[in-house]
Amino acid sequence: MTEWLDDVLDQHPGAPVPEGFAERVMDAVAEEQAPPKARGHLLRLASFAAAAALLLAVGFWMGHGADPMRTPTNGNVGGETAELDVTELYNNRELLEDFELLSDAELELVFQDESAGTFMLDVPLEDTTEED
Amino acid sequence: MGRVTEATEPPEQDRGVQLMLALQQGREEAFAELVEEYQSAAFSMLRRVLGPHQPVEDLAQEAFLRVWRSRESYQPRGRFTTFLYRITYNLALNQLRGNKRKPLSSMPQTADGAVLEPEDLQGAAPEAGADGRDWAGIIESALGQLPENQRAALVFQHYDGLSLAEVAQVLGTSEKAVKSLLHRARTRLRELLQPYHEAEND
Repeated sequence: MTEWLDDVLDQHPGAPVPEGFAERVMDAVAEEQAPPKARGHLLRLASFAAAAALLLAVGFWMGHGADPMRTPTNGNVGGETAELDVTELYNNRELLEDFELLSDAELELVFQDESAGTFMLDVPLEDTTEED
Repeated sequence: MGRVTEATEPPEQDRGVQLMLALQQGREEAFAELVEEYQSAAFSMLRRVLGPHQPVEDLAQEAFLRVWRSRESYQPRGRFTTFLYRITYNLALNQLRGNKRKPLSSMPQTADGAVLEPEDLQGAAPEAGADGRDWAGIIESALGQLPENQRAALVFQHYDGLSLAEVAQVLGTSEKAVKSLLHRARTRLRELLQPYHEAEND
């Protein structure tokens, strides 16, 4: 005598198989067995070659044909002094004022006499004067 | 429908095993026959383990593709269904674990589309005259409330007629563990389905 639970469970009909399922499985198998397409392979090879050529060209251009990445400066990089043309400073006084660069006493003295001509200043960019 | 059975026939006499061996020998038409023979079992197993609204066809197709790919290394250690279900169950597990946030089964519905709420399974009896279609939804919902390993053990044992040893092989566990899973699954299902059973018999 079977338990009632078994009889109840038997009332679940399972799942019907969709029409054409077996054919779709066989199609998938056939697709797996097909050799890789030569055309696609060649296309991939050509794309790789083109990318490699482009990289080489860019590298060559950057090494020989491009403008310098940096414009060399006249001052000493990291140096402690800069050579300044007083006339240029005077002509750009307003700009310098905007940037509040004229609080330096030495610069103020210089601008009192614009006819002084070119005057070489040693303007320390860093305060290196320290009392020992 | 299946009950607990023991594998009585040697593997070499199993139809599926014969077809796999033929496939190994290069007779590819044997695979088409294999699919025709076992597709219903695969679909039904997946449906009962996964519940509704799951990509059963995709998983069934992938299961058969994996059978195809394993044709050269296949060794008949038991019935072919055990081999097929082991592959199919692993796919189902991946699907279940990928859908952790989604409920396993949707609400069961009556024939006229009304929803049977989950609490209906635990208290109120369904309306008199529940037809077969109602029962399918009720059973699916009840199965959906079992942990996946209990559900799978019960499905393999009850619907697919696998022996304890075969269920253990599919689930990758021991026969003792399968017995425990089955006991707990059936206890829980009795609790869930008893109201419906009693209502039907009133």
